[in-house]
Amino acid sequence: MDRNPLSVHELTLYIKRLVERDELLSGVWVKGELSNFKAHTSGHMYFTLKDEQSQLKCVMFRSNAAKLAFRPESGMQVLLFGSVSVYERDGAYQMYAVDMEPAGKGALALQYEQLKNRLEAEGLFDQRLKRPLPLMPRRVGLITAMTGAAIRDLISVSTRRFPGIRLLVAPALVQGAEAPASLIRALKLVAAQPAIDVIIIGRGGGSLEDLWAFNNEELARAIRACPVPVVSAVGHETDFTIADFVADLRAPTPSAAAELVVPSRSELVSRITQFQSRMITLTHRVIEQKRLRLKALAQRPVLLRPQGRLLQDRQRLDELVRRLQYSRTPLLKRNRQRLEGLAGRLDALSPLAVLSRGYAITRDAEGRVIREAAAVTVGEQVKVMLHQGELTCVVEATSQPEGGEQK
Amino acid sequence: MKQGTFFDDEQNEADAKANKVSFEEALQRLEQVVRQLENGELSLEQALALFQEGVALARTATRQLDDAEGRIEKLLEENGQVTVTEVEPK
Repeated sequence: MDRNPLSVHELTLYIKRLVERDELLSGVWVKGELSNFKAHTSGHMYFTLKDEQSQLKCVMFRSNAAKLAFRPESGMQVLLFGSVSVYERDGAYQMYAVDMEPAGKGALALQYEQLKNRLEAEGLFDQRLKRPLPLMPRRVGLITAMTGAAIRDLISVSTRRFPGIRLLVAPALVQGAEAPASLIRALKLVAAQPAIDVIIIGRGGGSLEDLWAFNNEELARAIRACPVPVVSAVGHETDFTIADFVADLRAPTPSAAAELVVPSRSELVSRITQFQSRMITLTHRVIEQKRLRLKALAQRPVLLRPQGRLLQDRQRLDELVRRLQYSRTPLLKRNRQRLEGLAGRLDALSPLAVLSRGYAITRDAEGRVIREAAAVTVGEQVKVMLHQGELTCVVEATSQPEGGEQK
Repeated sequence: MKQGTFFDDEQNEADAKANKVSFEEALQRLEQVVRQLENGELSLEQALALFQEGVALARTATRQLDDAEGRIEKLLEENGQVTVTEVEPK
């Protein structure tokens, strides 16, 4: 047998051609754990994909590496897509990866993070979009599975708080691939029913995978678009689902959701009662204030003796009127009155006035006033002056008063 | 609450008005009435009118609480047909 040796390079090229002709190796998904991960400054990524038995050298060039939505790290479980070829210099086969996705538990967390960031950037979680819950909902929509603790808790807490509450349950799948579509459908149907004022959507607690339906983008959008407020109630105290972020209110459990949505009847009754008694007290206070004011006014003197004051005023008025009239009497008239008054007094002094009372004055021919009988002789003529007119008389006799004084 | 003969007609009128509002509106308005009575420099007429309104609101709110009949219903969709049926609570 002739020895016709190939060069190392020739053999390597041969192997390379074999590998590159293989259909499977030209485009294959492979899963494993990242190790020796190095992101070179050039932008290329060099790493090893391994499992318990084997390892595979890999490279991802910059053009593909730049498109990755997450940052790969050693230890991560990933899915790689690419082709396998031979690196001639080392004579080693390696994978030329064009795409990489996180796999396993880390994958969900990463997808969740990516969806959350995207919806948040879009503004779907904006606090300003959150609507307040009604104080007393006419009818509450419940969207959850018909079996399990969630629906039981929702109904028992709701009816305990408010026995008169109206609940509308829309059963939905809360787990599995069909759950998001089922939840969305139920949400839309319930929201379209009359008198629905608020909707609780949720399920009991579970693993991250169990709750996965509530991290669905379409469901998140349906919740945001719902015409009535939505309360999320995914039974997991610590972790938030996308539904929690997008809902108008997040309750940590279905029981808590019922507490938040359904008012306590006794609390409402006591609120009404408090308002009522406060109102009565305040109204009494207003009336009392008015009464006191009225009392204070009534004690003023003007109201106590209204007539006294009136009479006083009347008197004063009369006085003023009189003074006014007096002041208006013309000066001349006043003086004439005064003159007349004086004239009257003069008259009273005049002897003539005496005549009017029946007295008479007797005078002799010379006009001398005769005061005694002896001043005249019998036969002498005298004149007697009366109040009206004069008499001429002849003395027929004279007589002297007996014992009369002689002058 | 016995109202006696005190402003009966006006009270009836206030009741009729209050009956038209929802529980929520009634409670909010009642709170407002109390606040107005607390703060305002009110005339006697205004205070009494507010009181009457408040009494009517409290009545209608309480009645709405009393009248509410609990019901649990279930929505089912089959072949595009949506039905709502009452279920017995456990």
